[in-house]
Amino acid sequence: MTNSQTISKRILLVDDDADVAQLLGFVLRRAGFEVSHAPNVKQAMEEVTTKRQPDLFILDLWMPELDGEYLLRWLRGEQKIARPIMMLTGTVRPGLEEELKAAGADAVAHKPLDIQALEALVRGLLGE
Amino acid sequence: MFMLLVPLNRWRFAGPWIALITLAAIWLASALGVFQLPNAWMHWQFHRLNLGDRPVPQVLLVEADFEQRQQAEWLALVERLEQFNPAGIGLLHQPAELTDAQLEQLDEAGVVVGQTATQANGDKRILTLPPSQSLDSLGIHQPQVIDEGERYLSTEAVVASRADNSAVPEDTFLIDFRPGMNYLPVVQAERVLRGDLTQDLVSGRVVLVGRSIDPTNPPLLTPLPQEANVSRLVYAGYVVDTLLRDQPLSGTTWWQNLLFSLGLLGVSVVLYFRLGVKRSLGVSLGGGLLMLIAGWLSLHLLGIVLPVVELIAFHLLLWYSLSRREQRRESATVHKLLRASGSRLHDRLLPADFNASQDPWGQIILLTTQILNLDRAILLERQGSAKHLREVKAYGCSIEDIDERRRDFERTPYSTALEEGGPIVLSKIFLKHPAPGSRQFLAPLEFNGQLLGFLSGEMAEETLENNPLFLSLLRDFSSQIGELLYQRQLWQARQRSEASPWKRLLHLDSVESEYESLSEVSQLFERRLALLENVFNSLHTSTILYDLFGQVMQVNRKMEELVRRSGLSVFSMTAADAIATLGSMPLSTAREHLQHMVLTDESLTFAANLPGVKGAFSLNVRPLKGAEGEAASSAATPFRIHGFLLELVDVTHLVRLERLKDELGNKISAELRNQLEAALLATELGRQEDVAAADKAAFGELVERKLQQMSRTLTRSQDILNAVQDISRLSDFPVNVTALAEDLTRRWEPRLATRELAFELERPPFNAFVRVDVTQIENTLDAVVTVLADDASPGGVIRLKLEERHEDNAFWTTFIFDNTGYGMPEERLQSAIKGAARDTTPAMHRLKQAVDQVTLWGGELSATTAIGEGIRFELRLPGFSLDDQLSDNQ
Repeated sequence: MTNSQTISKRILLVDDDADVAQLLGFVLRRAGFEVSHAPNVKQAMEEVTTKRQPDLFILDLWMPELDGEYLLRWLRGEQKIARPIMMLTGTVRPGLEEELKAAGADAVAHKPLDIQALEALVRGLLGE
Repeated sequence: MFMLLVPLNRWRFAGPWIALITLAAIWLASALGVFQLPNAWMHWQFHRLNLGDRPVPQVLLVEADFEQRQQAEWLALVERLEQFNPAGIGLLHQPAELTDAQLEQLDEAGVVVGQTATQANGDKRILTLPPSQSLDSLGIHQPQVIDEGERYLSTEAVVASRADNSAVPEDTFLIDFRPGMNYLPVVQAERVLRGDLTQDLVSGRVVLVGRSIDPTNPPLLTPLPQEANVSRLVYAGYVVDTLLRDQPLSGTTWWQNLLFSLGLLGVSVVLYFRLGVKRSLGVSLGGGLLMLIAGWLSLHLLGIVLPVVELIAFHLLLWYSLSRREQRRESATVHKLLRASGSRLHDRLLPADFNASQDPWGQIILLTTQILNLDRAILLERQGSAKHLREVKAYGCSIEDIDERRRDFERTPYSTALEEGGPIVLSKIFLKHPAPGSRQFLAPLEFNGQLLGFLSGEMAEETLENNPLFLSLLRDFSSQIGELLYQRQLWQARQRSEASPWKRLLHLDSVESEYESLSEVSQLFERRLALLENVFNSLHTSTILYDLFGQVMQVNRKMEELVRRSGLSVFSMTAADAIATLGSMPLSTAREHLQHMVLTDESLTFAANLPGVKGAFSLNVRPLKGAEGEAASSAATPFRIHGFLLELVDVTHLVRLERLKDELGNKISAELRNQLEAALLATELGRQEDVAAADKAAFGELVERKLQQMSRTLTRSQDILNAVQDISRLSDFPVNVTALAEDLTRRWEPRLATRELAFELERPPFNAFVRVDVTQIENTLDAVVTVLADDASPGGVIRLKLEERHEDNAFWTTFIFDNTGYGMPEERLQSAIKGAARDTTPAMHRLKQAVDQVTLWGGELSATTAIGEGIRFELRLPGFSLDDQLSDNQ
């Protein structure tokens, strides 16, 4: 095992649905990533400001109270974070993807998710 | 003659006939000499206003004292005068001292010697007669007089005819006094005798010798001013001068007068057609003045004496008759209109079906007793103009139950109620056999300043005590019943009048009675119009009424408020402008819509935007059609509609409801998709071979859990939809709490700023809804803020914080208000909220209503206070949060 393999990339998954987070976490961990989970935006903000920055953010768009788009803008605007951010959404609305990318998202993954495609997208964003 | 008997105001050729009759009347009056004196007087006045240019006098007057002169002196006088070549010499009187021979000598010398009437003898026929002093013949000279067949000549005429070698004129003529007074030169006989004369003074002139003014020879009346002191000699001088200048004044003949009158008539006809009779006063006065000027100019420039007074009289009478005729015609029209309008308005205002029905008062007394919670009641009516009362209707009693026999409203307790000017609670029994613990009242029924009757009733003591507004309510009822009684009396009076065959036949009703009737009904209509205007103003829908031509007729209060907020100037906008502005469309399109409505009578609805006003509005434009009967009667008019009604309906909350449904649908969809996605992902992972068995089992449980969540999501979603669509509370919709708080802030911030108060809103981090009537929740919040604002100290703050809580297995939204104010005793606030306070303020009264309303919504409004700290309110309402409802499932 090389040094690069021993230091796995860290992903912060922000999703209010614990089951979805469990599944995505399983998939990503199996792919060799370190995954941490924040069940809401406030907790994600706290994690970003108090802990080491993850290599990739995966944000669910729709969450109660503050949503994923709010967090996206906060990360790019206030925190000036340059790390890749991927948005997850089940909403099919024309123009939504363009809006999110304009707000700073690097990729938008539409549900239902394809496991292989998701893995490939994550690796692409992480430059692997 | 028959024609003249036809009432002129009804006859279509009245104008020409008025002209002819007026002409004939003036003609007749002239023939009867009616205008002789006024014309003479006018002639006088014109003489006195002369132009100032005088001709050269043709006469020299010599004043001599006939009684004191010697014979020789008369001859010497003549001799002296003849030395200066006069045109002629005349002695007005025959000197008594002269012998016949001497007279003969004078005659031969060409001297005319006149005689007075007393001197006249058979030989000589030259007389110097006293001039007529009667006003109608003043200034007229008669050169020849025939008396008992004998012809006599006037001295003046003879002197003049000899001087210019002409015949003595036969006809009377008007003496020309236009040169004015002091016109003719006068010398004394002594001066002549002294030879103190000049050629210029005498040569070529006729010299008249006569007496000056003395007690036996008083001044004469002439058209000249009185200070002229015209002696007989001067008078004769003007006569001779008039004849010598050969420019006598001329009057007008009858046919000339007729021509003048016809000319005047022609001018009047032209003026009548151009100006009508509305300016008849100006035409009359102006015409009269013009004729005065014409008469004066005619006299002084042409020497023609016009019958000015006669013409002015004709002119004035003609215009007066025409005006009077128009007035009569207008009066007749107005009278007819009055009768028709009065009748129509009576029918409209006093519907026959109410008063003619068998028992119109049964419903009224029943309604009164039900609303006022009365056990017994009786309605008494005044009998005509008498002071006694009779029963109209009673409930639970009769007039026999009244504990006094006179029924005389000048006695107590009626007089006491009249003095009070409203209902009184009676201390003595009025209706016999009162129920234990009951109270009785008596209320006068007045309307339009007239006493019409009384209402008396009985109710339980608690009814009076529990309702502090009872007497006020009773006063309102009395006023309304009074009006109904008044209308009933009007209707009865009209029925009696119409039932009288004599009145119908002879139309004995005077114009005054028509006016009175119309005045009464107008007052009633004014009240009704005021009521309708009030209703119109109080409408919750913002409304503008336009006439057919698109001009604003009426704008209600709600609309005024709305347009003020939006900065629109609705009063300067036509209907088309308003539709174009509010409906955000080109003016040409708005006009097309209006045209379409005029042609089709169809209503149209547009989405409306009000600049600066947050919310959604629907603009309804409705053409206003006339009543069916009215449309039939005015079929000649090209339009079937009378105007347009623009209604701005606030659909903000409906739109919000729609958005809520959309949001709900989206959230349900997203939630289900999430759950389904998780289930699919778990299924896919469970199928993969490299997944451990324990993980596969966990994924299997996850799939099952997700399916159960989906089922619950669907059930909860259906519950929410059912709550939103509950039609049993039509006026209540889910209202966004945050939007309510923001609206409240927007409404109150400017008002509080004027009182140096601030409003602070702590916006909530949640998305909650309460299900209430929007207007009533706004009123409720306003009631709370009003109390806080009244209590706040200058520079203070009113704060609002929103909270959501889960209590008792339900979701509650709480509005927490507090202020920095003076506060009040806790007991006082609590008694006001509970409605126990007797002397409550309007603000506290509204607060009590708010408390009741919140209770109806299933919520609670509580308050606490401390002196020096302020007041705190908690308004708790049951609600729901979409986020909360759906996230519960996870």
